[in-house]
Amino acid sequence: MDRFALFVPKLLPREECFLPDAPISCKGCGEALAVRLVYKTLGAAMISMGTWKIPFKPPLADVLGTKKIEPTMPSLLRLPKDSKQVLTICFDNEARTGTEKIEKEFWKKRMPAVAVAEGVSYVATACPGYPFDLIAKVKKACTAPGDAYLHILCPCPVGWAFDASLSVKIGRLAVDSRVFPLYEVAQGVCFLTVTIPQPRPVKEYMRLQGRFAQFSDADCADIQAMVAHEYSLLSASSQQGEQEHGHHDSTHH
Amino acid sequence: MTTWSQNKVGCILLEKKLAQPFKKGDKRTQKPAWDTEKCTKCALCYLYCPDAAIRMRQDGFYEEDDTYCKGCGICARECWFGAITMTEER
Repeated sequence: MDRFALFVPKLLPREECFLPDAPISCKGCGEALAVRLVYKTLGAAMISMGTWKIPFKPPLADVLGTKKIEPTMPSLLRLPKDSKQVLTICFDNEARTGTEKIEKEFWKKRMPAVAVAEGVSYVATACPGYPFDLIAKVKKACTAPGDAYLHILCPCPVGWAFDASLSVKIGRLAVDSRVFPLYEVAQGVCFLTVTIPQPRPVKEYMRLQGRFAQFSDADCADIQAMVAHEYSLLSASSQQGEQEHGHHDSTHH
Repeated sequence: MTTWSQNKVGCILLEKKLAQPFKKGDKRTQKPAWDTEKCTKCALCYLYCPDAAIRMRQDGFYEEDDTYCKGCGICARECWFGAITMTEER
């Protein structure tokens, strides 16, 4: 029976530790949903020890000599697990140089891969479009030995230019089109928690968002090929880990 | 009345378990309405609401909270049974 998990929203804890507030989150904010689910999973006692960090400041501020630095929202949550072990959660809304200035770029820095290379013992990616997967990973990151890093993709209706009601759907589509695969790396063993046998076209994901309006069909085809390549690498290492270590205790669907 | 500048970083709420004193949902243009004949009490709307604005009533059905629903429409789109429609705010 321990191979089965229950996906019932009613059985989640009722306690709300997240304070929704208009100047901080817009309507339909994916980051607010992710933060709310993380807080709900961790509980008030653990969150009160956490600190929010600003990941990096704008790179050209010192060089250009401009005093005005844009206020950056903190998007790294650090929580102490034990004496020296830290759980770091990155809320990624893919805002590179301010959401209003969008250049023609699709790929971002591979932060989970950096964390794996740094020797963090539990690394996982999550998305609020798959809420039970996110909750299971937060729970596992708390109980896993050693440091942990979670990378959560948060759709941003204002920055990505889509309707506020599509926020959850776009997050799910990012996973279903294999752009943002959900996986976990525990003790160096990679495992795809959500496998996508029949992916949706990447073009469908890109055409729903205004930030990719300047990408032509040829660009979409290039990105589709690159996405397929990345996913094949990931699934190959996932299958290798499964063969070497056999049975996995985590049972996401 | 507490304002947003007195909040902790990260919007952590520790004192009370409900965000009742913070009235923020007064700028919306739409609000959700539930059809109790189609609703199966599955609580998906409660799960997906980014603002924690959906709560359970006494009879098990769900309703939005006027104080912090921003009218984004995620609940109406994610409901499997089409039980939620967005109505215009008056």
